[in-house]
Amino acid sequence: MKFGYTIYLAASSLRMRKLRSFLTIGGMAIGIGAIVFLVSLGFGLQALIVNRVTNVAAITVLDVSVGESTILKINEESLKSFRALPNVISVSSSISQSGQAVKGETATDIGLYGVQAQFLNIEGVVTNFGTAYTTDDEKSAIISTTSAELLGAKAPQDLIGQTVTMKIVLPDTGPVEQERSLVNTNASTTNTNSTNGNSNTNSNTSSSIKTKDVEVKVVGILPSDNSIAYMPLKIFTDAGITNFNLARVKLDTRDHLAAARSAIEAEGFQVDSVADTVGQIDRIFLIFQIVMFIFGLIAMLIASLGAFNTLTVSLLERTREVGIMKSLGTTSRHIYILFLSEALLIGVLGGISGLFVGVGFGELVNFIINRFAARLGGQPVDLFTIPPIFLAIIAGVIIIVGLITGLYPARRAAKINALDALRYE
Amino acid sequence: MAIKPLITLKNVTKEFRFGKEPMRILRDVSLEIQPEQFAILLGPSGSGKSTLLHTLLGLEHPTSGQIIIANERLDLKKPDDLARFRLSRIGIIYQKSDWIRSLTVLDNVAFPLAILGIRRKEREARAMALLKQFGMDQRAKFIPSELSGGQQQKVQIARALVNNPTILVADEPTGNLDTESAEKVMQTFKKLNEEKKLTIIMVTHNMEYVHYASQTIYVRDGKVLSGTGTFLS
Repeated sequence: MKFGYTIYLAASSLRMRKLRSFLTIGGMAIGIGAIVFLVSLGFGLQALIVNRVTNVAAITVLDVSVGESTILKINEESLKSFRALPNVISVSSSISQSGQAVKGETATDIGLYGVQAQFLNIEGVVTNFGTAYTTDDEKSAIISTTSAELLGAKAPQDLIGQTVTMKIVLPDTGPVEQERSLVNTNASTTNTNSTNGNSNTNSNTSSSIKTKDVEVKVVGILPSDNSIAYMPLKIFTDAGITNFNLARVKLDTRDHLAAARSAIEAEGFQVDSVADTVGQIDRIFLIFQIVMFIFGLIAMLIASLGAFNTLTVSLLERTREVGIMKSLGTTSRHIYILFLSEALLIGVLGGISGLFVGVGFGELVNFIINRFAARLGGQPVDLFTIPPIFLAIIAGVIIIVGLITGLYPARRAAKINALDALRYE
Repeated sequence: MAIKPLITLKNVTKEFRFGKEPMRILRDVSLEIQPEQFAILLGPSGSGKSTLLHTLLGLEHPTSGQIIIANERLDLKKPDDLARFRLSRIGIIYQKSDWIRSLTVLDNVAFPLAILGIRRKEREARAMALLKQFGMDQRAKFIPSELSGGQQQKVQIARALVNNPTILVADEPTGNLDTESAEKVMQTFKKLNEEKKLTIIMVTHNMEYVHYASQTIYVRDGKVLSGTGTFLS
């Protein structure tokens, strides 16, 4: 018997018992639909959170710092070596120094960050008033709302366009002294203030520190509870700071992160990556997805029991039919394949309908949520997403379930004695 | 020189177990049927004639003895090989018509050809030709259960003939039919025997049909009373 005919025969049997076939396939569809729906919710939530945690640009970036080391330095030379690594697209560096912001009579301590204009987006700097600086030659700054308030602005945006003096604390040559001097920052800056902002080159006493005064124009305000400001990196290098706190090494794809990372770590640097966080999120969501999959599987199991029941009852009803097939010359193997095909057909039809049910229901919920979000002024989200690999897994599940539900009835059918079957009423 | 028999049974015994008691249904049956015979197995209910027929078909395995059809030892074959043997050599007609209920009359008649893996176009053409021969071509797209008993029996004969068997086996083929339909079926068998040279083995308990037979085999209490090759005029 040819395979095509076997399928034809199985399909004709399903067609004959329309309501029963519909209910059984419907049950399968609900089972598969439940898996698709729940797991795609898992994938959707994961994608949503990963996107919230990091922007796409940051996912291929390695953050290089000296870590606990007091000997290592990130300077132009090390940046050069990072650039030389394979698959590296760009290397940016940043400096963070403490300092003071002065506006008229008001002064406040401030954390100062030196970042090149083109890398502000990787830093995640988003202004809520004004704009970011666009070139590295500007003498401009983006300051936080908190700093603006501390500098006496009634509303943070009032400060845009105004000039603020930034006193950048210059690091000491010896790291130990630097730490000590930072403890006394407040007291010593008052001293240096009196020298009218010129850099103090006196490094003999541990209580005094060197600062460099720079006048900058506030171009943007960013929301933050900390007193911080971003300025072009050049301001810091012009002030004579040659060691960077952080280098950001951007790679072409996420796959190349690991190789570059181990190369940089081999030099002794500490490497952090947003991908680490993403990896942790992925791990948590894997568990979530497995739990969802199990819930779906329970629904699937119930549906399979339904299919199993249908096939068994159908076999009992068709005992005489099996008898006549065998007496006409059908082998047991063909009978086996026939009943297995019927089970597979139920599984496949149920599975395909289930995919439509699951995906359709997910899309419907997406649509409703986004309508709500749009009305409330929120951003559109995709709460349900299905990666292709998952569809492949589902296809596998369908076939396995179909086979398992069909095995027992098919074996029983194959073992039927033709004469007994023909005597069966 | 005698013609080599098409069917030979040598000392065939068949026992069934009912609980612990073995019951001997066929007792040391030996018989021969020559090619192109119209053989009628005659006997009262419970005589063992149906069991004898089923043993001949390979549907029942003998407890002992040999069954030889067309030089092949059926008693040595496995069930699936017996199924293939039936498919290629024997056409079967039962008292009660059994169908694959989800298939049309045409598909049911063509079913043995589908088992052989013959393409749809050819098997439908062959099945249709047979249906036409029995005047059933107008019913080809019906479901068999929609037909009358007589019509169903005609379709059964068409199904039995579709794979060009050499032997036609019929188990009480007229049992469920009115006299007129029964007579038509018997005429058909006679024609098939005479024109197509088919060897026919028919089981019946009805003495009326004996005149159709070229060989009558009486079965009683599991034994063949009048032995091989009894010719009645």
